[in-house]
Amino acid sequence: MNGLFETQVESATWVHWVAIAIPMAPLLCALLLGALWMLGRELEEREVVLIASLGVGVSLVASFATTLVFIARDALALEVEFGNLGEIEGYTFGLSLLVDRLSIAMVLTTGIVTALVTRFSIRYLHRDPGFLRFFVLLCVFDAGMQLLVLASSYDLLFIGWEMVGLSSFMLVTFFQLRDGPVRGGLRAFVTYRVTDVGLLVAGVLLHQATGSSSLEDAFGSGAWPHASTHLDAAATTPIALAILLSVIGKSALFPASGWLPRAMEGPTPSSALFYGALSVHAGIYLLLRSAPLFESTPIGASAVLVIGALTVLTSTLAGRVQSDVKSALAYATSSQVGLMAIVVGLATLTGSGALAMVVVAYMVAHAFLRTLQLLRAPSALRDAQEMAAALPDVRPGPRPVSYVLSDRTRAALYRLAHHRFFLDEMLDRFVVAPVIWLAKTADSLERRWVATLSGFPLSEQERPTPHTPEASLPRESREKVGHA
Amino acid sequence: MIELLASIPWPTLLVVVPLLGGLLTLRLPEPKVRHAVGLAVAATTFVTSAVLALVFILTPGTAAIEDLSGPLPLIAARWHLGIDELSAPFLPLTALLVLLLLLGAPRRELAGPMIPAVLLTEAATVGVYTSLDLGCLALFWLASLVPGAFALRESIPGEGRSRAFRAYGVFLVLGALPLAVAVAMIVSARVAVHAPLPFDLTAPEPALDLAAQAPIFFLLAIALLVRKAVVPFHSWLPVLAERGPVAITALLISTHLGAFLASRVMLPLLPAASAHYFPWVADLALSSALYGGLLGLAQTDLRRMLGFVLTSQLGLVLVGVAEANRESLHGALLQMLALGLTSTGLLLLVSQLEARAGTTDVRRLGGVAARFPYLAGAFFVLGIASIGFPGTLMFVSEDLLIHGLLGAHPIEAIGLLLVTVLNGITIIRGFFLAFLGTSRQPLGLTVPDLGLRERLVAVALTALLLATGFSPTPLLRVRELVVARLALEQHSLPPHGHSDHGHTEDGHTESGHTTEPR
Repeated sequence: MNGLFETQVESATWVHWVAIAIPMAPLLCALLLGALWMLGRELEEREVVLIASLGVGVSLVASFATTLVFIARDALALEVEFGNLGEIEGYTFGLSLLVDRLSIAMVLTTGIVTALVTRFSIRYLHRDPGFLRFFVLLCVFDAGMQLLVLASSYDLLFIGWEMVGLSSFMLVTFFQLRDGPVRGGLRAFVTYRVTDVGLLVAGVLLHQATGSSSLEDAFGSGAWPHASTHLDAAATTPIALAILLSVIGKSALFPASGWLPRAMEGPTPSSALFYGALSVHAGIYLLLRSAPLFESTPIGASAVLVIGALTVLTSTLAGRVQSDVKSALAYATSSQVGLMAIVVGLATLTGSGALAMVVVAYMVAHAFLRTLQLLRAPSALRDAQEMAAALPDVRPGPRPVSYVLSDRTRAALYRLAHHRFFLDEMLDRFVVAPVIWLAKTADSLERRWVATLSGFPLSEQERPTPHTPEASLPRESREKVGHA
Repeated sequence: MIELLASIPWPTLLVVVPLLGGLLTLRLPEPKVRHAVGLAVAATTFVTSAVLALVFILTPGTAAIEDLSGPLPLIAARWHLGIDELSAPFLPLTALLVLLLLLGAPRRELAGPMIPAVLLTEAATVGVYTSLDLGCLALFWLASLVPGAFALRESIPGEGRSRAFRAYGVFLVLGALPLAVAVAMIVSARVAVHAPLPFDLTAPEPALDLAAQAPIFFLLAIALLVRKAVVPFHSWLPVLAERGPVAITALLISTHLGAFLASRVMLPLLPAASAHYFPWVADLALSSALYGGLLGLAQTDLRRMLGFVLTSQLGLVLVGVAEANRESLHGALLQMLALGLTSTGLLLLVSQLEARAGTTDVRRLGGVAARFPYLAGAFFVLGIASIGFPGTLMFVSEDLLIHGLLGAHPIEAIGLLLVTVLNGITIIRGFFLAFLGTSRQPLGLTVPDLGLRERLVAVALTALLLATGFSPTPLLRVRELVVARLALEQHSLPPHGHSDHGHTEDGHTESGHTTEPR
């Protein structure tokens, strides 16, 4: 938009439409599938696959096209504006996408991994009752993730962030008839909902500091990774810490890492997509995107470093005592993401753009590796047996830890790791329980007050139902068949 | 087109059609005929009001469409109805909600006198929206409560009847009487200065000083707080949501007459008192929103839970109105529309669940999604729309509200975020516990899922929320004038009005600075 930012603005050219298609194609396909279903169309698996693949495929092709244009233009950043979500005097919720070296890497990774996982899932979920639901959520995720990485303002990024969160917790509860996935999904949702406030607060504070929440206004002087902010540490520290809060939730960093292994209750392809490849890296992406903010505040950068280190420590120990492959992979992912956070912390402390580039490469490599491992997880036992059969003589190597730590210490560590360092228990006890206690107390006071006023009984008495549903509904059902 | 508009008394027609429809259906004994006539009346009202609102919105600069009779002898009140920027979007919204309620509510929710009651409430509500005369407004306000009271009496069996009636009666009479007294005080003040038309709402404000405005403001504030279910005047809403007839509950909640009263009467007629006391109302409303959000967490019954979430969200609307700056007013006006759509949809779906499962207690439900996938899908989509999921209207309105608050009151903006977090957790938790997991109670085998008609209602609501959520600008533009008028009246006041509550003139100017165009 200005010379310093070296951004080319695209409007109403074909590049503009291609870039918009990256998030919009899967979103439209998700809406189409949902509407067809609600209006009573019995969709065959073939049709679901066709529509979903169309969305994911168009998005992938558009990502490649945009990348080629980006390379061909030899620009540092392209900006694509497309309207707004509400405009009044003094307030505009602008919609525009930002294509630069950071986002283009993520766009390609997202497009490729999602397409691969879509292809894999067609077989994997064949004849599952939730076939349609899975692909709708997959499309919502694809749209949300692409929007998240392409957003040119924190407001728009938040929209993608929420779409990713929604599809994530709904896929955790995919096998909805068991209670385990429902509990896991609820935990993921509550963690997201609480920590997402950080991103909203950051947007609000940034808006207050610069008069806008667009990235360009916050870090005006140079394209990523050479951007920097003109704000001082007093302004950026709270913003950076608020951003870190939502990163902790989304990327399952310390102390909110408890939802990640529980999220493995979801179907394997979605675990690979979300918790192996893309959704867990959304937090790291946000840190990289906000790097100029963190560079200006040593407190914020050090906080990232510390949180990363704690995550690595707890996750690597907890991962070593897991008995199933998906949980072990979840903790392995978590510790790798912790390592990435450490590198981001170092990069922002030293202001090194090269180190930030390293994180991008690290993230992309890790995404592909983890996708492969998780997609292979259902055959893990078979793989292990084959390896054992091929190499019968391999023994576990020497364990240096046993020379350093006493048996008692190791036993204590084992117990701590086994209980996942009691992190969830502490959150439940010190955060959730007081809130619930307060709510219940207030509720009983409320009931007392209404009882005094109107004479309703104190206890939650059953509402009298005029008639039993079984007796009345067959008639209605006949009527409804007539209507349908 | 304009000549046609001028020749027919449209606003009066919008009141009279549902009024006559209500009286007619009261006489019809056969339930099917009654339903059909009710639907026809609701559809006619909706189409008429939608066309009027569209004409009004698409031709900018149209003067208000007004009906005016001569002043009544002695009291000089007039039959003065009109459609202006403030009321235009509310009319089709109310008519649409009535239509969807009649289309989608389970049959037993529409039994007995319910259809006439809904139509009569609609007539009175449209009357409140279009009144440009204080006398008309007060009368319609009273009238909007009466049919609901009778319907409530008929619909609840056994002992609960008189109790629910009492809970409803205490609060809503409390909400109507102060309004009547306040109107009498405004009129007498105007008569004292020999105003020719003391009841006229379009006349310039009476030149009252703060001391004279304050008592009137407090009376109106009580009416407003009761109608908006703000703590401590909120208890009627959870009771009604839990035990009352769904159609009446939905209409009382989603028509936002309380916030409308603030923007129609309090801000324009009592500017000094508004500037002085509305910050307190805003704080009260925010505490109420927090209270509702917190209590929602403790509920096990979906209907009662929804009652508290709605209490909380009505509080947020009032925060926006009472804050009375440009963005917060825009946000509140949008939030009223969004909340109308989502609350009606959710209340309908919960009553449909109750008709099918016999209960809405999450401890007895569970696993409903496997049995009723359409019901679950519709509840989920409207549920996430109601908690401000991006892409729906609620997201835009909450964003505007936050931006309206953050300039002068960052702490309150954080409080508002906290409320949205609590409500979100409550709704999704309710969905998970009731619809997913293992089934704790067998569901009748012959009970069908949502029929096509009920699904169409859900699809229509979702489509509206998405369409307005993706392009809210037309809606914002309609309100531009009225918001500018209401907000500017706040700004033009001397600074003393703000000072004792930390709301200095600087605070407002600051909020102007922070929101420069991007």
